[in-house]
Amino acid sequence: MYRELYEHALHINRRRFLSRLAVGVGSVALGSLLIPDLFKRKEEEETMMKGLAHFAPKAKRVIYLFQNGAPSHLESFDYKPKLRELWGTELPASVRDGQRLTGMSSGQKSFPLVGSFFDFRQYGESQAWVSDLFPYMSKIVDELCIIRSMHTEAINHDPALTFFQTGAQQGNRPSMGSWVSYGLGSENENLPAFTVLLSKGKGNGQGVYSKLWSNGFLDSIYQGVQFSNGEDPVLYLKDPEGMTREDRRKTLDRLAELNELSFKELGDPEIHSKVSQYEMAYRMQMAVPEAMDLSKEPDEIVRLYGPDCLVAGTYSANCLLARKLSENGVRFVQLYHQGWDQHQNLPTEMAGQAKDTDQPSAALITDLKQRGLLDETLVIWGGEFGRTNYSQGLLTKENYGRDHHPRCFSLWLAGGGIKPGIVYGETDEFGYNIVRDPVHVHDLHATVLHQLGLDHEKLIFKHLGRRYRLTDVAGKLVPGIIA
Amino acid sequence: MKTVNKQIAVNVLIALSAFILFLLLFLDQIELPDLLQSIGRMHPVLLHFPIVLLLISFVFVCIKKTPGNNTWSAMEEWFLFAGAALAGLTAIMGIFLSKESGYNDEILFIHQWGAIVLFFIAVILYIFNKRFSQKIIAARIFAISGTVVLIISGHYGGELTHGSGYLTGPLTSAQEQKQVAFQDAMIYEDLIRPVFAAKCQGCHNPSKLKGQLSLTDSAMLLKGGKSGRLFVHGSPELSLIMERIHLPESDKKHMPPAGKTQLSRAEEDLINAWIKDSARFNVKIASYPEEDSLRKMAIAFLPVRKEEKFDFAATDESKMEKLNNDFRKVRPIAANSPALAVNFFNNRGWSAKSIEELVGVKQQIVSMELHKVPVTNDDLKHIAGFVNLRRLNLNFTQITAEGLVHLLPLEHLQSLSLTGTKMEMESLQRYLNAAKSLNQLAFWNSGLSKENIRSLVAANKHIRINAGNEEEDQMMLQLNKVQLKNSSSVFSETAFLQLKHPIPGVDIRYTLDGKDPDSIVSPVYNGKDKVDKSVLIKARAYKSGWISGDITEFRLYKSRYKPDAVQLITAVHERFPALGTESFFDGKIGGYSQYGDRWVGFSAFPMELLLLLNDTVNLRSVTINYLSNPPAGFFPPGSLEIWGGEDVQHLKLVRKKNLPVTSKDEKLNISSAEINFDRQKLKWIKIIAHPQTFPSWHKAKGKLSVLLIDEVLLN
Repeated sequence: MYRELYEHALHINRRRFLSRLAVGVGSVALGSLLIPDLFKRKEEEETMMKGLAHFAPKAKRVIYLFQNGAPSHLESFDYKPKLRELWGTELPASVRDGQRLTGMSSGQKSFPLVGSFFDFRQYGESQAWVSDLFPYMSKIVDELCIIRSMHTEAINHDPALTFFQTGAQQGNRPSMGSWVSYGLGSENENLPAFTVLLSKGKGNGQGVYSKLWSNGFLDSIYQGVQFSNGEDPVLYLKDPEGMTREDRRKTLDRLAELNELSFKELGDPEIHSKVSQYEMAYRMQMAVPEAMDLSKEPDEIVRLYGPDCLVAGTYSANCLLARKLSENGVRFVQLYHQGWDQHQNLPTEMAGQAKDTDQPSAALITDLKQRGLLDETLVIWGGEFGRTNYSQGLLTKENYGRDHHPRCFSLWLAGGGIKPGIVYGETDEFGYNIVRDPVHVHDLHATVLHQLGLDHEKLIFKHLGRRYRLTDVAGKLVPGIIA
Repeated sequence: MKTVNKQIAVNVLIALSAFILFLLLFLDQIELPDLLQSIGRMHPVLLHFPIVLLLISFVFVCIKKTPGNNTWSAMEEWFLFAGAALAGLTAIMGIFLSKESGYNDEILFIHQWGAIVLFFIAVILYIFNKRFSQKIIAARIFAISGTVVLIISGHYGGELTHGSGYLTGPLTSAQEQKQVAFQDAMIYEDLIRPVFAAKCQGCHNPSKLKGQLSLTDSAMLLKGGKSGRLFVHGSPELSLIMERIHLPESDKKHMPPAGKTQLSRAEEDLINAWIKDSARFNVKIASYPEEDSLRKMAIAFLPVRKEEKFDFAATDESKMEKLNNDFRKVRPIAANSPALAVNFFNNRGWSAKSIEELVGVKQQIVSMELHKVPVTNDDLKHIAGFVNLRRLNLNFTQITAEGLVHLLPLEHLQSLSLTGTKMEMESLQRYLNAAKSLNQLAFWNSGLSKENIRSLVAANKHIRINAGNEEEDQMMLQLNKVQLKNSSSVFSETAFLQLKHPIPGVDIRYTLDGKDPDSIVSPVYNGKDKVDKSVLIKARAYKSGWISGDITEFRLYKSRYKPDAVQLITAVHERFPALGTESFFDGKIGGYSQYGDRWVGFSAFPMELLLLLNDTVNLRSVTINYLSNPPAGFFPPGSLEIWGGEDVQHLKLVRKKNLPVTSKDEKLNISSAEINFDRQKLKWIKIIAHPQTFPSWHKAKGKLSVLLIDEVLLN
């Protein structure tokens, strides 16, 4: 009896052994099929932990001048004389080619073409066309790389903006600035690596939300820090009234002692990181007001950016602040300027928007250059999509509007190892479809990361069982714009 | 195995051998029918069977000890026969398949003859099985050599199907691609040749010479092959090579042959553009004009990343980490790079030793950021020890032009930023003359005159100099608006006028009488001006060198009394609730766009506001402020009533006032309606404001318009 039982046990063991072996070997094989680099070195992730560039970078910092609401490419950088000739005629169906419309103009019975209300001229050695709305930018075209062949996937503001900032339309992903600070770390331990500045023009506006500078699934230290316009650029950073810096120092020292005791007892490394965050805030108490102080800027700088640069909360002031933050080692300064959504009254509204933004944007480039910083600072100017070549609403000789258009739009880059003085890509004579060198939003992301020394295919973060990238599963470099 | 069967088997094998020999001898003279071609293509399907069977039988041959064990012998014989017969069939198919073009001759030769040798080894082992049983050693030698031949032949078969280097590909592909800097890249060597090497040279090389063509070097390329010259310089459309590339893939003459890796569209375009450009060899891509299409294509082919290679060793990581603190960052410029970048971003952490301490990594530092750090000329002597510096930022430091001489040992320094330092012409020029590697310099705001800057730029053409806005006269700019800084626009007795302008040094001129301010008679704001009644202030900024600003208008309102309790008796318009009762005495007047936020709306019911003053006051006027925008349906009040008294139960009408009917031309406006009356002592006040009915010109005539009210003033 005992022998039978013993044999029985052996049988089970052998069976179990074999089945386990099969499952084990099988799952290893399957695993290696599904995740090809399962058995490879973890080099990439380790590199990322150190926050080092994958290869020597051209640009160290980025200033992104986001023109929120989508400025019309047809009144800025994409000169289409044909549209003036065809004023009031119908958009040919062959050109529209099934393009979906927004709910705002889909009910229109007719789509009358409309050319730019503003004239265009050629400037600089590059002979780039710029509209009369941007007299200051037209003086620095030889520093700019104007891309006229951007295209995106979304047709409404929020998804398009989210797509531009995070590489996905739905939100919840890390912002570009978060990816960059995750990939490269901070240059200055006294300031946040990713800061956000907001301003608003008089034109029809669209909101911006903090999800645009969210860290998504990355560690919260990579979140964008919004600097507000009031006396306290960073909320809750100031000591309460009556508290001196010495008092604060003493408080922090005692607190650190207590924390050290509890670290010895519990051994939780989070305690140390908390202490270091307190210390960072303490240093920021000095560094932020210094970096944000505009009162010592010389007259020449005030004239360069225009007098509004001393009025807190204007685009001009934000451009000047962006330069100051960037100069102090902030990796990614993100500006949003609202008011570019010209569905109606485009001629007057866009002129106002241009007046607010033209001089400061150009000034930023000139200013970085005269400090020898333009080489290592990448400046980006542009909105989330383009605008239709037909008028939304009533078309008159003096007035028209333009709806959203994702198939083509213009954007410029300057500095940071991008070719200066070139115009890249081309749209058809209707300014509706791209005919040469299209640049997708993912491609732009890949190129910006490349300039910062990051390979967009290697800048990854594992979350919910999959590796995420800013460029999702797409994006290719645009070598034609890299110097 | 029975003798008869064995005899049949032997005959089969001999027949196969004979057929194979026949094919090998006369294949060149045979034209294969289509059916046989298809059979030939089944070669890769069948070949795995003989491999396995033969390997098993070879193992049997090697492990058997003595003859006699019949079971083992029979199995061995069966395996050997089956293996040999299938090997023969496979070989025949293989020979058929080899008739198709496109295989690498050298590899095919080894594969084919290896397979035939293997077949004959198997046949010999089988036929002379009996005799071998006496000479086991000989049998084993045959079996082992058969195994070796099988492996070799099999491997080369694999190379034929999958391309050479297939097996070891994953191990070797990680090798670094050759990187060429754009400036040095040659059109043929770095662009065209790699395409030929990847897609054509497998067959067209000096040892194989398919079609008597070799594409490995330029001389052979120019010579062409059996069908003539490859291209006509400058005319891709007439060139043989383009014709072959563009033929449909099914065409026999299409190149690369069907089944081989094809040229990509971009590669086709590249070769096309190269021939169009006359198929030149020793030309640098960089020498083509910026807009040239060949150059543009070339850029897409070259590796984009151009990294400088450093010839020094990396430093110890722990050594580097020790140098890091809150104010100084020492970090590699990239992972796996020995070069370090040092940033000082804060002068508080600065000490005289801050730079000296870096001496341990002085070889590795290629970039230094010293923006706004109090670096002096003495510190530059230490910096001179960082011999590999490429980039140095000394903006807003305390160095002077005399100190630059210390930087001369920095032989690799390419970029220097001196903005906001004290420069002086001679020393700077002397430094620039000696600093051979420098190609970029910024020194805006460093005390040099425009003439000096111009002459420096002219004398140093090899350096990109940025010294600020080159334009002689900047456009005159207009000053921006004057700001009113009073914390509340409502005051009770008197208020200081608090005007401000963001630009330092401007004159603010203003008027209180409604006239436009000018630069001659209007008073200059000095911070001491007081107002004691409701006023309209018009202000404008002036400064020499600027265009004067636009006129800005502000209002300050006087409200002597503030009620101690406020009650709104009627219901507000649901879309414009604002802050309800609180809105009327909060000291803030709404702006033009703050319809529902600050302005309380009334339409169906008039506004009835009941106020209680704890101490009886001597009142003589009540003012209400309203926002009107007739095109949008917001109208001024139709009439106002003031009731008052000592007792809430017995209020008496103090005054009633009808306002004029709004005309058609009125636009968006903020204004006030004041009711004056003889001074009266009041404790309770009730203010009634009736919305205007739309006038006769309005399309909704007769209905009630919307009345938007904010601050109420009591005087």
